[in-house]
Amino acid sequence: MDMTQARSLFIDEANSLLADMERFLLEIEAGDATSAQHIDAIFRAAHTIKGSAGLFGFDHIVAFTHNVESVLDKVRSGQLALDGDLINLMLQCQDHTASLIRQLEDESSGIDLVTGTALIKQLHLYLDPAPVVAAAPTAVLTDTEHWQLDVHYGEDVFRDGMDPLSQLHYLQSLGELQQVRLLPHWPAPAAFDPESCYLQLKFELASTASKQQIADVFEFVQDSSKVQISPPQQVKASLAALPTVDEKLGTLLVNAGAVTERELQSALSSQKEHDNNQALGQVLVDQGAVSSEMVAVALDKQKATEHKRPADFQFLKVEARKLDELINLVGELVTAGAGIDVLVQEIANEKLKESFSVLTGLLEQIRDGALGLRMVQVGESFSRLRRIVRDVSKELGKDIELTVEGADTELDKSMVEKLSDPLMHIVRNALDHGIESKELRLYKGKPAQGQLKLSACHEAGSVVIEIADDGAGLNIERIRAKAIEKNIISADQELAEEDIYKLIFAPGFSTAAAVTNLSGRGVGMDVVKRNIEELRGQIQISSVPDQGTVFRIRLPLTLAIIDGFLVSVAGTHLVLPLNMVQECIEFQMSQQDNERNYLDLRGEVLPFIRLRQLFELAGPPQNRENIVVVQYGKHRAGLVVDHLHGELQAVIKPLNTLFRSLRGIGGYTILGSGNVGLILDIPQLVQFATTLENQSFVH
Amino acid sequence: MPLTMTQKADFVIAEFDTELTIFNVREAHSILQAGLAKAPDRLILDVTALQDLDSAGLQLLLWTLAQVRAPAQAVISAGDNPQFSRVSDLYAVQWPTHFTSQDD
Repeated sequence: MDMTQARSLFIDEANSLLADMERFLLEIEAGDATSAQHIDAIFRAAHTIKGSAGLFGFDHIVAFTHNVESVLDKVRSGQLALDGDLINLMLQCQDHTASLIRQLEDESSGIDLVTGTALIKQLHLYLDPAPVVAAAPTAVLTDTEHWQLDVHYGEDVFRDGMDPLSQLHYLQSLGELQQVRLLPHWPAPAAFDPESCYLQLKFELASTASKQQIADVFEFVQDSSKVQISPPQQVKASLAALPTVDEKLGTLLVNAGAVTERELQSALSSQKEHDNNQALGQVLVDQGAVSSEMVAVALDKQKATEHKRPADFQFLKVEARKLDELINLVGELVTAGAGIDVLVQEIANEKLKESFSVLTGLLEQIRDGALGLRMVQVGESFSRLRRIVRDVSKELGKDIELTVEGADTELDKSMVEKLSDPLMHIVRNALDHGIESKELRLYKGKPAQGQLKLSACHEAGSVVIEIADDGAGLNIERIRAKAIEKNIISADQELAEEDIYKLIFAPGFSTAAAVTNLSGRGVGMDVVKRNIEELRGQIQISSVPDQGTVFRIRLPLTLAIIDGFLVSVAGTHLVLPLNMVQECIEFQMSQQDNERNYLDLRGEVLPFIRLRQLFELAGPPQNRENIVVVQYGKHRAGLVVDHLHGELQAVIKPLNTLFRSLRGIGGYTILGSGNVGLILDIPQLVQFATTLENQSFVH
Repeated sequence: MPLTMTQKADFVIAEFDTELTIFNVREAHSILQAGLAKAPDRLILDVTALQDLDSAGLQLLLWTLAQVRAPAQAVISAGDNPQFSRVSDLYAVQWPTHFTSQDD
């Protein structure tokens, strides 16, 4: 392996580790995981990058990641808590490390020393204990032999008719009170009110009662007082002895009797209400509900559970080039198979046909398997968007909740990569211009928190990705006015609502009143559309004023091989993607009005295209023609063809740039006979058919 | 009246009636505050007659003791009042029961 290749591997590995680091940090920040669950992996990422960078002599990367690693090591050893501030800093360090790695790829860009130095300074605040002011929890509990109770009574307890004396008395029926300490907190003499309670009571209870039973004693003072009940070591032992089950931290602690349901709910609400970035375990410790040792035992239990899970995260890293070669070879195999199929049909030997059909079946499996290797979950793109939503909403001071659905939907890797930028742009636009500020939302009677939903699903052989926000929606009048101002349309041009929305994809278009550094420069939405069309995809917009906007992107599953349906017109072979073919019907020209290209299909109007005319193919129409009914999304259309040949596997080859401007043709394939088959771009044709018929209706 | 305050020789004695609870602590507090305003050197809180004592009452006794600053002193005189002992034991409160000599 030469150094260039090794360096490229290092960059690849570092980027992958940084992506993991970012994902884990965001999961901890969102409360989806605890720092104990991910800290090892985060530390390992920094440590591996540092180590590998050292091998190549990238000393600046070693120096920076060493500081990051040192802080993470302190978190790992429990000396530091991975709280919201530290997560924020770590994300910035992750960004900076990524920029250092990018600089290796593009040496023309300089190293951002200013950011690096500032970050190291901040990291040192965590490394040098003196300047670090860590907020101490209200009470740090440690595990003892007995239940530890600390009750700080509220001032209204007496007035509410409650008497701590009766609680102590009742607790005596549950066990033995020990080490009782009464700690009055007197106000200034003049402020003393004899009917107010200034008492704090600390004691131990030697009892076999459950935490819930003990907590119930204080049920009526819970709201006005601060009650901390710390379980004895015995509960820790029973937690450790619990059978290993796949439970969340809170459930584990409740099941073990270390935390009451009320304490758990209180901690969860605190996390949510105060936008608390702390892990649940830490919140429970800070609230005095449980000791950090107990949380550690529960986390170990969780880790044990994870280790027992099947090794579903074991991957084999393969060079993309090798995978592409394999797909190409499979493509050639499919083409060669189609050639043999033609010969087998000619020879007409039943045994040969039978054997060949077995081979064809296996070939299809190999094809699907090979294509499956390139399929990755679209969630990979979504997880990058999580960071963008987090950063941008913070920058804009907006409270936005991101919901992701169908992140496990699979799509060809090359498409996922190319989809990243368009998705990012749409999301940024939604955050910046779509979702209103808190104040405006409240004024409109909407919840202060904006919603952004990313979803992906399979639909009729395509992958549909939706980006939906509950913002202000698109303003038709403003879009129209802007388009006229920018000379994109003329003032008297009438457009349907859907067509007005499409204007935002015109180059240089932007209705944003103010250009921010996030969006609003009018650069991008045209690129978004172009990128998606390059992926043979389509983008649609729907919007309702004050309810929000939905961007719907429809993409083909793969760019490599499709199941096709072969037809011919005037001796030209045409291939239609099979999943878009609905049915084939006989077309009798005599029954048609030549002026109009639509027919009555069981009571429905079906627009159709005469492919002979569209592609200007020579020769008179056949006496007997066929219509292939195709569907794309909600739209249906008919394609008039001469002959129907049946199904085939088509290896998609891109058209030469010379022919890219051709409308209605998406690529080509080599048929078994050796002839070229043109692959039809059904979405374009369907759109063309419906538009053509609408226009002829208007005129 | 929850208590009466009398001066006997060098001592101010606060003699509590049978009840010191949330229902009469405000009144008891007023009387005690008036007595404390005279800054007695020796204060005896006589609780021997107490039959009904709750946490509010106990808190008032604790507060009163806390208001007497050295060199002044205050003590509790409970005799063998079982009700007072029960409450004190439950809270594990150790009351001052003897005046210390000024020379100590």
